[in-house]
Amino acid sequence: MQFDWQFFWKSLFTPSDTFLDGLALTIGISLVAMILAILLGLVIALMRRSPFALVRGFASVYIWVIRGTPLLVQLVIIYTGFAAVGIYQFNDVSLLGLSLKAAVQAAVVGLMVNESAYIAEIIRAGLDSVPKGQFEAAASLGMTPGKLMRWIIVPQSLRVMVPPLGNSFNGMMKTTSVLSVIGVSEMFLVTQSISSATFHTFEIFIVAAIYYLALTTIWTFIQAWIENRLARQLGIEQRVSIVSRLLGARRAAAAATPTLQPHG
Amino acid sequence: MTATTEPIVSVRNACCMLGGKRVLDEVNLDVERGQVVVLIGPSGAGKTTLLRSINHLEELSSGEVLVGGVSIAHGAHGKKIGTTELARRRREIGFVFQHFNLFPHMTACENVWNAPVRVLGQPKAEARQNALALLDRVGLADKADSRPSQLSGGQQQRVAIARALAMRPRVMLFDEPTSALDVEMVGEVLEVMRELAREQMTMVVVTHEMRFARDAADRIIVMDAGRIIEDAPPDELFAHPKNERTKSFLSTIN
Repeated sequence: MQFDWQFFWKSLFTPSDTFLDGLALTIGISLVAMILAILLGLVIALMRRSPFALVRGFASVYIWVIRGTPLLVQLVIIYTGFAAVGIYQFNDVSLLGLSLKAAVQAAVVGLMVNESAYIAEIIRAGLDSVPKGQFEAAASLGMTPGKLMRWIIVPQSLRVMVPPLGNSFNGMMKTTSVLSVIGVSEMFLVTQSISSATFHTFEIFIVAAIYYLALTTIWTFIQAWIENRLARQLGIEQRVSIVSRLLGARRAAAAATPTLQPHG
Repeated sequence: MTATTEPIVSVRNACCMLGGKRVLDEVNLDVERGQVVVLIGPSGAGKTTLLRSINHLEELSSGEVLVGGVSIAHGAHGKKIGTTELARRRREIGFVFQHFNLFPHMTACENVWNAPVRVLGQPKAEARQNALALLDRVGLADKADSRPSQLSGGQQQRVAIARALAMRPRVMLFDEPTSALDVEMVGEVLEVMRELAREQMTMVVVTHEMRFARDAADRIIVMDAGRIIEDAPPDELFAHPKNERTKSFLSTIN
């Protein structure tokens, strides 16, 4: 086996600007797509609670279709398919001094749409986890549905929603590698081009793997911080150690979480 | 003691179907300002449904509920009102639940000041001051910063009463407020309710506590199978129940 250590260390500690651009794009697309996906997912989740059957039906069909088809297929339809039949053509634009490639826009839209269906289900489960009595108590105090959600229901359902939302984001950062298919020069595509230019396939992909691992590990810490902060705000003393988080021993800890239901 | 003005709560020809069953059957009830009305009757008689229909937690199939002369569910032209208007009309009606339903993510004090701030737009400092005074009134001044999960059932229910009072309601509705409590905590909650009755708060109470009904109520209403079968002052009702089913109900609980 020939492993070019020198190339490996150089690529790891002093990556080329192209590689760093790819890394930045991976992070940027993940963040923007996640934020948009949460907003769209919230809309879909609220549509599923609508008093109008047609609205509920639309949301259900949306979730069914989006969750039932691969992201890759959705991406190609959005980017290439729509343009081919003349529905919508993405064009390079310049936004706030940042030039946004057509493929990047399509990637954000694709990830947003795909993730929103899963997030809608997470939000639905979160809202369903709040007992009916909480809705009634808030309503009896004269809260409108908006205030009731904002002050009473959402803060309580966050406890249930944040862990799976965090896991979604973790997954999304890795899923961005699929975007190479429509030519988004994120970390995977950049790595591939370095690989074919240098023939150091093994070394450069190990480097890429380490960077992906670093991203998701940093996110694990951030997520732990958010969850602990939230638990503190909700008055729950519950800490999950970072080691058990990274190694995936979280189920047992979650089961031991005290319930939010008042005892009586 | 009871004024002869317009009743503060007026239920007219209320019918309610729940799951294909007629839970309320042409119920009529007027509650005067300052009155304490206790609803009793066997389970499934429709007491809780009647109480919940007063602030529209339960929707009537037909009939009308007026609070302060204003319909709780319908606008001027008989059309159903929207959620915002419903919320506005509910402000005047305090509701105390069997299972307290305190907000678990807030301290006792926040539970009490939350709605006055979010709904009435009171300044936070003022609402907090009121909340502390109300907690003091229900004997829980020292528990202001406790979470509901740190309080006993009786304490939670007293916070829930303070929370409802913070909106300065014109009428307070109690749905079996002591049924979920351990025996030794029933007294402290009833004491708070007696105090409220003495202060001329208009109250409608569903309860199985006959001692409370006897001492605190101005009127006792007996329900059975979705109808009001007897309506009398406590002394009269307990001494000379007229209806046969009232007699048999009273004999089962004494």
